[in-house]
Amino acid sequence: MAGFEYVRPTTLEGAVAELSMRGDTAVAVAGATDLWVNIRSGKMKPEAVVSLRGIAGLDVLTPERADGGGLTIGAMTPHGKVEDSLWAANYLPALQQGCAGLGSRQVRNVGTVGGNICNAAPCADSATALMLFDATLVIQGPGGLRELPLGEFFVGPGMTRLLKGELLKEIRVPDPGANTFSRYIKHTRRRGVELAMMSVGVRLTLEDDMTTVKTARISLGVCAPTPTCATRAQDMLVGKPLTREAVEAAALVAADDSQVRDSWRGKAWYRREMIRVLVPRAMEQSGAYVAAGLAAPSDDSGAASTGAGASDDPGASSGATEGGA
Amino acid sequence: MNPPVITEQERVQKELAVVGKGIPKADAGVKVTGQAQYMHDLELPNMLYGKILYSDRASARIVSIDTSEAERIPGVKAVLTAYNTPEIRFGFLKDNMALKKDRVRQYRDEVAAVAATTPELAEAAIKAIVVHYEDLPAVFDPEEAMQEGAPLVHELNPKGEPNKDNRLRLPWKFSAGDVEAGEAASAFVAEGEYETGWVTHCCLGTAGCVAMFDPDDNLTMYSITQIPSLAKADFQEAMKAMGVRGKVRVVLTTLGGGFGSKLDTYAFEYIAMLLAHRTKKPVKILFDREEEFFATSPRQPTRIKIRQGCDAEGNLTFRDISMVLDNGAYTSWGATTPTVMMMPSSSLYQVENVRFRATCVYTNNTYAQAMRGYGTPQLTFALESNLDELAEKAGIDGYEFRLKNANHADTVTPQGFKVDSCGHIACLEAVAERMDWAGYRAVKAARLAGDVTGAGGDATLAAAAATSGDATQAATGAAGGAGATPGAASPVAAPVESDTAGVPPVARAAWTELPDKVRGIGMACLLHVGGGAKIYKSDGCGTLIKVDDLGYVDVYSGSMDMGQGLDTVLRQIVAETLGLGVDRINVVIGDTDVCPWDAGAHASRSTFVAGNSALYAAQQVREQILNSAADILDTPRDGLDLEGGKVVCADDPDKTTKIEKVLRKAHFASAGNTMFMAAYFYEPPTDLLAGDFKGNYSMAYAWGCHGVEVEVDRRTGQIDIVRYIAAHDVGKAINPLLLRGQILGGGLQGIGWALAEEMIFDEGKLLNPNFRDYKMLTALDSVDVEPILVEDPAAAGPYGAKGIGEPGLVPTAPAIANAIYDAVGIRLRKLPMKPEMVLQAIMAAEGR
Repeated sequence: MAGFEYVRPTTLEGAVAELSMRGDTAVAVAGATDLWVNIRSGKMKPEAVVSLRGIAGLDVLTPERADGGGLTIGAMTPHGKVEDSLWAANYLPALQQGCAGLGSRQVRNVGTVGGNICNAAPCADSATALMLFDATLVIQGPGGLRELPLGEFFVGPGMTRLLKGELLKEIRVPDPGANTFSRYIKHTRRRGVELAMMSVGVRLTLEDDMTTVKTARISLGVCAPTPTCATRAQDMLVGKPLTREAVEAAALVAADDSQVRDSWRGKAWYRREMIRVLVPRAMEQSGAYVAAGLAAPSDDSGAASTGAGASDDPGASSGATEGGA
Repeated sequence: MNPPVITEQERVQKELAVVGKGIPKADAGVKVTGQAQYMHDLELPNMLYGKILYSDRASARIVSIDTSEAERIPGVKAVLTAYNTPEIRFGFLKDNMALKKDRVRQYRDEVAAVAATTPELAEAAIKAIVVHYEDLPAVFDPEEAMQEGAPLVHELNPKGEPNKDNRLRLPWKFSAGDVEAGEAASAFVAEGEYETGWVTHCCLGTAGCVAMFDPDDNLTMYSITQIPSLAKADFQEAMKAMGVRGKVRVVLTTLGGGFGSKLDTYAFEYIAMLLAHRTKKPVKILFDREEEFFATSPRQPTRIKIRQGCDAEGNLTFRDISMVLDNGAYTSWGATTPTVMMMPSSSLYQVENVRFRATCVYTNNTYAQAMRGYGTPQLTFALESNLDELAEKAGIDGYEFRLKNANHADTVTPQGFKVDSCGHIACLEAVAERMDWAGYRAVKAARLAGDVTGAGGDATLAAAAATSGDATQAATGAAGGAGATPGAASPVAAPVESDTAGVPPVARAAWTELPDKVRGIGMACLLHVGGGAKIYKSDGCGTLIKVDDLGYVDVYSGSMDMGQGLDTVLRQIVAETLGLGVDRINVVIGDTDVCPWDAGAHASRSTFVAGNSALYAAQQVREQILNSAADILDTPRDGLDLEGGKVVCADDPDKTTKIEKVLRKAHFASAGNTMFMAAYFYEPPTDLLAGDFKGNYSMAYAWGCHGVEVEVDRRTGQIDIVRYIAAHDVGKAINPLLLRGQILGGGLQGIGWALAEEMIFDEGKLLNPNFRDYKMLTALDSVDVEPILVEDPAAAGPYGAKGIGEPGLVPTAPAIANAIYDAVGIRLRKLPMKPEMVLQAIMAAEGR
């Protein structure tokens, strides 16, 4: 393993300047949970590593209101902070679940939401969950700030629209509105320390009649080269009454439209089938069916319905426990 | 000298003070505080760091190796290849070499090695070595490797004679009775093919060693071996090959896990010797995690064909097993696992007519070794899964079928095993009772018949079964009645003789009505050696005990501890025998200069063999102390006993004296020649099996039964273990705390093997040499394995104990497979039972 220069600027502008000056020889580091593995294995050989840890104000979680609304997440916010946020669990449950199911607690304590997004892995849990909420990225470049919808950020595995010298400053999640239900299911081979074999996020915002779908989002991890939204499937649900049949049909379209592929980590047919199975389950577990009167409140409405091994509390850590032994 | 025998009477009469108590492991404190010294912690003055260059292909001719650039790197002290070192051959068939010459046969082949002043320089030097290869044909499938014209992995055998094909010339055949006659007498026959792949031990402490020569060429090998005495012999032989005349001392550091992975010596140890001898400096080789995965030897993959039959009443009539094992490119203990697989094949359940054949085949895959269970987990997966299939054909509940054919005490099995103590039936009954097997069956049968008990269907089945007293009675009645067994088949379809394999017990029509998650129960039994195993000429262990004037006892045992708790068990045995507290007992292990000989920590033998060795040595010391005390206290020997740290005089309590006082008096008052010290070599009077493989090769046999309830997600194929019961016939639990730990650990390792773990190879190259992609279960996945200790004392065991190191893993996979079948009617015959395989089978069965 080669050595490298370690640079620790104290302002975002300073970090952007360091990166701009050094060009391809430097790399920014947040939590280092991926970068360090790549350096150690020799996949990356940067001459300089620009740490973002000295920059104040990037490790923040700022809700719009105490009782809901939007959320601003500083790029350096570790996943564990979102995981521990009762506010997130209450108002953006799928985001909290996505962050809570990533890696191990140790990884979540250092790995950052911004790093997870900029690393642009197809399995990025926080990114896939954030897709549900139409998040916008605020990017600092040499010329100032610019904004970009998260949905337009990813280009391919490990590739983003971030330009050289640019850094992600924060992620803005707009107010999803009242009557919003969401759920993130990470499908894994084991429960702990896992990459998703595939993952499904859903978000439904209902009209005040609690029947008609106002907004629908279905996001998928490891079902395409980047985290994606199943737009055709989403559109099928909007403006119509929420029914199990409609969700099943949308799930089928999401599965058909996906770009799943075979790898030794998982087969395409199985990933496709899991989209079909897990989209309706996520909808059910989001609580939307109960709200729409499609299921009784006491019925199967969460991960708690499964057997002893999986019957963990559906709250704080349920995102981590979804998935088989 | 015959071993002193503790009579059953003595055992019952004397209340045990230390044995049977759950004392924490001797080194628990240093381990949890991070103070235990592992190989990673060992640093010696002037030590160099060794690193190995492995082949980057599966089969090739080495055209050239250019080490010149590596040699020019400052700080690099030696660059070795097969071309500038003496040839060191090692392994069971001596077909492996420390450094490979002319030819590589697998990706992990060691081609060159360096020693440098820092690990980074060693790494840089390895990268600077240029090897030119010419690819040769390779073969990765053992059955393809057996075919005519398949590329030969070894053109010559170790004697230099040409090999005709890739089959190893090993005589793994056993037969008893008349299989054809048994089959002719069968009313039902079940047949199946089962496949198990590569899994590895996942030792958290990666492998390594430090080799150091003194100026007189004596080698000290700091090692993590499970076989100190045998490794010393291996290294001593290598010294001869190196032309070095010194002697060898093997010293163990703390092990970060064994599980069989350290039962043979590895090329890296010989390479460290070569580097240390060349540089005249201590050389450390420490594997990184990737090396731990690809360059240590995993469990041997098997393809097993099995046929079993029974008569109309369900009595087993014959068993016929044949298998092919992927040996990989070289031969280590993996190739000998069939000798142990013969044990359950011939002797688990009562079956007179048995045939067993195993063929080990060279391939260009990684070579396999010993791993917990030594082949019996693979064999038991086939045997116990197939047994359920046979029971279903015979229309008998799996539990009843097992009870009917279970083993009994005071029998001799077809292989010649003398079974004196046998807890097989007790384990079966304990599992059935704990799971409420009959009640569960009755509720399920009632539900299938349309009489749905409880609103939630299968999800509430267990709860319903547990509370439904009526149902339990009904099932018991049915099972004892006409043989129509609840749950074994749809109640409307009477058991028929025709082939019903593949027809789910749940009627097809009912599929769509099933909830997404359905539950089922299954069980599987095991037989393992519990009293050593004579796989070498000696299965013995030596112990030396000395007592000092302060009443402290040093116990020098040839055995070793890899975390299983041998150190603690020996303390308890010696403390009990000498009437002392465990705090007075110091166990010294892991140094061949000080400790006696031992056959190694394998075959679940250490508690039994090393335990007996320590027990008999301690009994001699006890006699020395008591005889001496009789003189000093001027009282008859017969009235004296050792208890609570005192010499107790039953007739005259005033004479009761602290042991150390007696010891000092004996030393200071006598005219010399008083040492309280004894040595004992315990050699189990068992048979080394060869030829027909018949004889009694263990002093005790360990039985067990695992019961499991699973919940199968019919839509994702995921398996959730709802309940896991592990009943083991342990003889006598010397330390129930550690014993439960062994059973729990074995169970979890087995569940990982059954459901998740696999080494994935692409034409011989390991794709997942890390914990990200090798799915060892995590703490979040752990299952609450409920151990049940059945104590049926082994007459020859120390305080009645049997060895239980391995059994916890053995029946896990078939118990789970049987439960999955019970839940969703699919029979999985390949491990691991991954969700996609489960789902694929479910979809096929449902016609989706």
